[in-house]
Amino acid sequence: MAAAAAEATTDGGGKMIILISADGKRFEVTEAVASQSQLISNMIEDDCTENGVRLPNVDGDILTMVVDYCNMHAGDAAAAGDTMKASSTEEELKKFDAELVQALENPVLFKLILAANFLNIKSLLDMTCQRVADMMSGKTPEQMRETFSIENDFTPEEEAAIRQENAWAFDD
Amino acid sequence: MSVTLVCGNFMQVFSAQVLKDVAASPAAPLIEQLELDFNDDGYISDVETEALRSLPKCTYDHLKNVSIIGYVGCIGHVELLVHIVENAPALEALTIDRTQRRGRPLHEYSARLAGIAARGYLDEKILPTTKLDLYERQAGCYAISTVRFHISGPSPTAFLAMLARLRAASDAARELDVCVRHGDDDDDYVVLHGCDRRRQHYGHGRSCLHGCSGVRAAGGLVRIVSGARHVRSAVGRYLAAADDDEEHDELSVGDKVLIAADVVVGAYDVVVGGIDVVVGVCDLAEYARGALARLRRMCPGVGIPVRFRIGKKKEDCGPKRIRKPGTKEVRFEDLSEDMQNMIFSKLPLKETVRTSVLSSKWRHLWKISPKLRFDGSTMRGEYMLEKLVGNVNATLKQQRGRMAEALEVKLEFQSRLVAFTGEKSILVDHLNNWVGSAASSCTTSLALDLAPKEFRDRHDRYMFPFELLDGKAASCLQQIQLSFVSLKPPTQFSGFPKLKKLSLHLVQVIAKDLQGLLSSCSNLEWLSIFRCNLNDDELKVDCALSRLLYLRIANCEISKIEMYAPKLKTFIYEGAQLPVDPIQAQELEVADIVFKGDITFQYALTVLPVVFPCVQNLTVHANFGLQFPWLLSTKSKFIQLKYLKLLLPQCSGDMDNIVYLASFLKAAPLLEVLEIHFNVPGYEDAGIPVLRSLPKCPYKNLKSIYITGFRGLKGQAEFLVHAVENAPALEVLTIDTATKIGVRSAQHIESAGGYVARSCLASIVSPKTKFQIVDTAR
Repeated sequence: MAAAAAEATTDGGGKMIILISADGKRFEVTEAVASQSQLISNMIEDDCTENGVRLPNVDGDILTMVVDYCNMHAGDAAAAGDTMKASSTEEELKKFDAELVQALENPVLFKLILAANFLNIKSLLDMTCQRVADMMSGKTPEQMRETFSIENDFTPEEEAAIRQENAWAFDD
Repeated sequence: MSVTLVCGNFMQVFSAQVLKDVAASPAAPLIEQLELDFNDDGYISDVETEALRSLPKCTYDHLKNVSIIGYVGCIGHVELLVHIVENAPALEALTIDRTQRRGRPLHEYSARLAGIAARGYLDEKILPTTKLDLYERQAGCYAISTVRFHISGPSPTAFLAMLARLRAASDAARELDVCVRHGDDDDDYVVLHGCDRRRQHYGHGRSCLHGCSGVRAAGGLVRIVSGARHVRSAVGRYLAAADDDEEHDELSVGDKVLIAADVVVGAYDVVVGGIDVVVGVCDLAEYARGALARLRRMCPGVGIPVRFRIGKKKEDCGPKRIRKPGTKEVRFEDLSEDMQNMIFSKLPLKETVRTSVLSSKWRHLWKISPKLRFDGSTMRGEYMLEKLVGNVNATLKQQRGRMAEALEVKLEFQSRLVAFTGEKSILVDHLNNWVGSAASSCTTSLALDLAPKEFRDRHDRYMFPFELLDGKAASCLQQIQLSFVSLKPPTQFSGFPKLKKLSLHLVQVIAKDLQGLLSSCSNLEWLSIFRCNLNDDELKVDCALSRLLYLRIANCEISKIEMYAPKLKTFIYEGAQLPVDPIQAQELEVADIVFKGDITFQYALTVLPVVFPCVQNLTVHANFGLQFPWLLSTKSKFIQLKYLKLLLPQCSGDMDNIVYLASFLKAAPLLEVLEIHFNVPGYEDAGIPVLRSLPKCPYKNLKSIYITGFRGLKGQAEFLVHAVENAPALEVLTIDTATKIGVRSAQHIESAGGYVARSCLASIVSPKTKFQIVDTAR
């Protein structure tokens, strides 16, 4: 059943693959789109995608984002393939990427990082990690605790001692 | 016919004699199937060191199937095996079963030796048509089995370097990639990840030869292509062993697959222990899947099928790194070290250190950040150097024992005293300490940028402490950037076998030492030598830099460069005349040449096409002397040049001769894009000069011309008209009257460039060409 669907080809001739999220949602994507994930790319190479690819670590809502991202970026990976629809322009991509990460709340962002790492999509991983780094950058410890919901479990003395240990990093 | 012999204890007996007796029987030539069932004691000795006796040749033409049961690897057994294999040309299947059907089970150690002995002898002898199965069913025996690969590729040095890394990996239980090239044309990939306690429990293989004892690899995944047969049997053995105890799941994506490897070393042999322990995480599942599927493909239908059925041993499963979906929220602290690392590495060190104060969970997180960067140039105020030294010392102190992937320090070198924790010491001592600590933590990237702002009259340098880099540390380094140091490698220095990127700036070094150093860096991909005065000496690199892609040599006073870099793609040179022989960079695509001092078109066009025949993208920065008219007539051409950029910051001589820049067009028949940046004196007379014209010459591929500093000089106008008239495919023509390079002394003089360009070109530019004049004078 799934096999039949997975073998189906699109008009363009690209083979379709079914990705199945942890909560059982199914996503049908072309091989070219899915291949941006090194994990899936290897599986395609090893011919073990016939029955759909189960991704027990990725929730449906996260996988939706990943699939959107991959669809958007399929152009750069498969620029040579004439079966692809016209690839998005660089500016569109940048805008898309910026909007994707800007909108994310903390826990979702981290889940996306986990998914990107698991699926091994380097550009997405890099982008999401960069987003976290940007969120950390230039903040006071107090602001950072707030951003990342960190509970300060140090006593004031302990905190002072740590600051002293690395005084140079706090002297501004 | 089929024969089964049940043998007694043959331990000290010439076991093959058994076979001889069989052979002597009249039925012998007809035997097709032979089963020998031994009940020998384990024979604990290293069979390999003993010479094998051999029986007289005799042929068992019909022998197709041999099983040896209770094989213990004693010399008699080995001799028997060899005798059979050598004398049974039709042998189709050879099964060696180390299980004893009778008597007590084998001692684990002797069972292991049996495996070694069998494979060691059979690998070379056995025919490809024979299927070899080794069964090792004893509990515990699957822990170690040994297969041997001949490694012909790497030199012993590279080899030892690999060992050093393996050792580091097992001690630090860190991720590690080792690539071993075989005689065959494929790579074996050894990915070692994490540490496996079971392995330690069983002890590690055999001691190693050649003083490399104690090499222990952590658990990992052995991805083997050419040794597929061996791994296949190892997997088979594992599966067979696992069959006995518990049910195992399908290997699903997300399982951690950890496969232990045992590494034993001879001069050119790596013995990689088979696959035995399999645990649960996604990091390696893909590798495992890939490797196993490849194995399956490579050995279709042979022996035990490799199934996607790697068992999971519950006691070996560490805590799952990947969270179950739908559980609680994911936080930064829940990310794996790699990912935290990746995030931290995008921040300045200072910012990451500040996270130590957030909470106890965050207390030490920053320390995983492996890139230690200290930049004195961003610090302000008094005692800047003292502060910086203090920072580095404090950070390194806390990092002790951890792997710092990169150490980068930028400060202005001086020999004065600095005070750290009240004690005065000289900077050199601190620098030495830092390099030493980088060396001991196997840093892969080391950068010391010690150049002061005023370096011209400074002759002091930091003497790079080669003595602190032992072979292990040197073989870890993949990137080195040194500025304002002095290099004097000791004669016995073994080089940087893994070094990929080397940047030397203001380095005092003599050509001979530099040659020696470069010759020891055969993996170099990126090399920059900048402002390192070699006193007009020659630089000859003996060994091929076969991976070098990028080479920059600037302001180094080199008279000649001899280097074999067949893969070189980019070459950047700055200096007087080109000291490079032709032939040596056949694949060069991008060349960027800055000529110091005046040169002529003639020189440029005689030398460049010969040196860079295949260059596609060429930038020439030169002060052309325009004393004589000269138009290219020679045959030397850039046969692939598509993009040419000329920067002419100061031309001398007769400006009318600018028209002869057309020589560059003639030399590049495939040129598509031309960019010229002039800096020529202003031209006050706004009259249109009477233009000479050059002989017609079609530039069919020329699509784009961009010229800046167009002042309306006669030579400029003539050149432009010539180019445009002969470029039927021209799509874009942009002329900017502003001078973009060099000294802009003449800027105040109103330029007639715009006017001249318009009047000369209006009638000849094709309507299809996008024509634009940027005239800042108006």
